[in-house]
Amino acid sequence: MFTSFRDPAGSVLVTEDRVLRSVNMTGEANLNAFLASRIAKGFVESGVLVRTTRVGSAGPFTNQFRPERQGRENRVTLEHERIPFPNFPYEWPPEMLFQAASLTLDLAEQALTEGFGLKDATPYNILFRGTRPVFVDLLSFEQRDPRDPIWLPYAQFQRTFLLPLLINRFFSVDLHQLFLTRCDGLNPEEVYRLCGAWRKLRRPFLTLVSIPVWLEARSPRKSALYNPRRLKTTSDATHVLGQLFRFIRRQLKDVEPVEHHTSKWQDYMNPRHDFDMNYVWKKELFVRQALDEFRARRVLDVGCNTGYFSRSAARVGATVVAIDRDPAVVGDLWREVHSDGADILPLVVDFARPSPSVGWRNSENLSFLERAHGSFDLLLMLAIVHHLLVSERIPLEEILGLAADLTSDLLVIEFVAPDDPMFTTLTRGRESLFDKLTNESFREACTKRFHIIRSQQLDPKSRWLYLLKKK
Amino acid sequence: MFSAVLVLAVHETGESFYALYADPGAGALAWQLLLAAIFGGMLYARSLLVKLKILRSRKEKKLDDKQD
Repeated sequence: MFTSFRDPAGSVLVTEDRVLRSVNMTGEANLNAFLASRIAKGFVESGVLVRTTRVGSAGPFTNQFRPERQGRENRVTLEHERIPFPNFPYEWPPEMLFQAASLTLDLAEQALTEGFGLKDATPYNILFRGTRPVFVDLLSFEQRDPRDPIWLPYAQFQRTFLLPLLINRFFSVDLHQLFLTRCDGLNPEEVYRLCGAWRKLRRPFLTLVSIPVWLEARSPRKSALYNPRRLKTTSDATHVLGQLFRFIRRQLKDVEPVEHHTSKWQDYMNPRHDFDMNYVWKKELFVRQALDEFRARRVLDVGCNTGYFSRSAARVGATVVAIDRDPAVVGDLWREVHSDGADILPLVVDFARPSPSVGWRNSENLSFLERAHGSFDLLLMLAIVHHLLVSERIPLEEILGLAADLTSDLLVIEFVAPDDPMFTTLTRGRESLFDKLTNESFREACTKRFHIIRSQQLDPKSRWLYLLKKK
Repeated sequence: MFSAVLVLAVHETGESFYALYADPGAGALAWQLLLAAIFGGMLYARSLLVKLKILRSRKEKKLDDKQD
């Protein structure tokens, strides 16, 4: 169970199977107006806004919401649909952050047509359902002064979307590391310090970084800067705001992630790689048979690489979460499945160092393992165990123990023997550490937590596939 | 000088923002105000141009009527 409570208009409580929102009098009027609007209905129908129903009360969870602010008691209780497998910006490749930014701008601009605006613009307002972003923070919508020509959340949009995408594209800074430590993104000053003199004057750095920094330095400390502004007519304000959004969209376009070939793992499934396609086809057949036979519907593909086997699982109707620690391969996978609509959620997660719990009291965003526990009935661990054994130095019993914790039923796991060329590439002279690791010892370790349903030797002969059922 | 530009850019109302809880920044907000002033100025110039054109066409029409 975890909560979200930063918005003064209400708080959210997430239990094992429900997402409840308490709204106080600060947010009640806005909420009612927004829920009654045509755009809210349109957003929900098109799947970009979370489905919501009013409920009489939160029932047994009423007292579990964070203590309400003084004088702001609960007035309305809502229940949101549950998005399968909640995910956060530090688990997204840049492509997903860009998509979330585009959705934020789309919603903010479309909401203007009925007199609403967004009061905040952070990626934490969005969760991905498969490859599609869904806006989940209903209280972000508020009625606007129609003569106000300013989009106040611009600074937050800049800090949490534009600048992270900028430094990812131009300085190759990993978003995973950035968002884990910087919930509210980056300030322009921090990026300004990274830039040389010439870069500060060039697009997109000039309008995104340099001018805001220069203006901030020239702004008087106690100025009237924060007072609301109004133009003479609504149409003037609409025109100015429309131009501002066009300008922000150009800024976003300038930091759009580009397709890079920077990772050796992007070509892993290429037939020119060390192994031949017979090996891949045998694996695919094995995985397909397991899926067909046991009708697994929720699959976690650990070390998914380009998502070849995630796609196999999705093709037979499974909902797949595909994780890999390499943002380049996860980004490639997102691009592919976003265009063909496969039910795959690609995330940047290092299985050896999965995302921790973050936020206030470490309870705002649950850790990856807490979210994954019991969420999958089949785990795919293909060509990953030797990396965990050798590069991460994690004992086999630990790996199998974690797999047993995460799957509620099945595990498809590939054993790579120490004499495999890939294994020896990783060990680099430390072969003696693994001299007791054989197919027989692996099989024995598996039987402590799983029943072996079947196994199959692959080509090359040093690799075996196992289909295991949890005891 | 800079604050004068901002004040000229868009009218202040003196009321506080409703339910704003995310940091609106300083540089980013000032930059947005400046952009709003530029876009607003362009809009004003365009409407002025349209008015001048209408005025000119009216004058030309009057002149034509007199000549007829």
